[in-house]
Amino acid sequence: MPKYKIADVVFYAETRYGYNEEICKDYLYEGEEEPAFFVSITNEDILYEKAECEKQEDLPLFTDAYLESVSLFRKFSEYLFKKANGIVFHCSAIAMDEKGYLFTGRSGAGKSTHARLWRECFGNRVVTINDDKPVIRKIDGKYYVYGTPWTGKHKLGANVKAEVKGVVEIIKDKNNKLEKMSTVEALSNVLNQTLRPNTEDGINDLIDYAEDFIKKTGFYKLKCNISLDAVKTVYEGIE
Amino acid sequence: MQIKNGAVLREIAGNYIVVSVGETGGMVSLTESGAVLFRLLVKGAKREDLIEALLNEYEVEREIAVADVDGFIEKLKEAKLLK
Repeated sequence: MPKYKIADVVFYAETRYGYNEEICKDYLYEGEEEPAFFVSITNEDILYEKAECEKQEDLPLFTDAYLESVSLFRKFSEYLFKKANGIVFHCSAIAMDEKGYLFTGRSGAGKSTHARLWRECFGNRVVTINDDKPVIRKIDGKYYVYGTPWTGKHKLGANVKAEVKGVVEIIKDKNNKLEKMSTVEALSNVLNQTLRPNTEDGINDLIDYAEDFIKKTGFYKLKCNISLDAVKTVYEGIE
Repeated sequence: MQIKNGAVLREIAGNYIVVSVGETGGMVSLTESGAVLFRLLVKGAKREDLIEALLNEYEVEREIAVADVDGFIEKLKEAKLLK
């Protein structure tokens, strides 16, 4: 059975479709570290994901192979939050000079586009960590962003990590302007980008986690157009 | 009128917010008096109890208390926090 190491968490995963193994291949692990858990995706798990997708409008029909990968993502995320001080964080994450910048925003706001502008602006000083579902982990009091196999529609990402420097919500506008978020805005941002636990205790733990993450990380709103000036506004605005 | 199971009220940086379990639904900000009303609703209070509570707690006219309570209930409805 394949062993993976994602966000420095080692685990066994039993899956049936080649799709999972394909997307996880950069995360295969053959080292000595003992796996922290074992996950096996069943038919029920796939049906569960199918039902979840049907609750949302405008989603295409997904193959079982794809739904299996969503299930693995969910199970990994649950472990991460309960046992490894981590959350998944829906955003486009890059590392610039080894510091992590996380671009969030509504669907269609231009997260991936903004990340692409950073690559255009700074060339190989920028590494794309993950364009859709990176992971945040708190280790020794610091927050790190990690690449994962779940890279979104542009399939951009790498098995790398970086200390988080800032979280920036992208808002389409004519001009470029960077502002700090209030704590409540930042909290709403975190809660909207991660999987919500389904118990009250889980929600309380998530809010505790988010509060600490927000205290130690700069959260900003960027009104921006699609230009290198937008990149400069963020780069110069985040101390 | 009851609060949905799994709605959590928290005070964050001097603000009151309500977050519900599960993957959908956003986060609602409440004022301090909103938080008082929320706690009462959790304990099973009715609309009239909420109005009385505002009248006792704050020196406001009945009309204003009624408008505040109805606004509060509307806000919870919009956020799908009532069952």
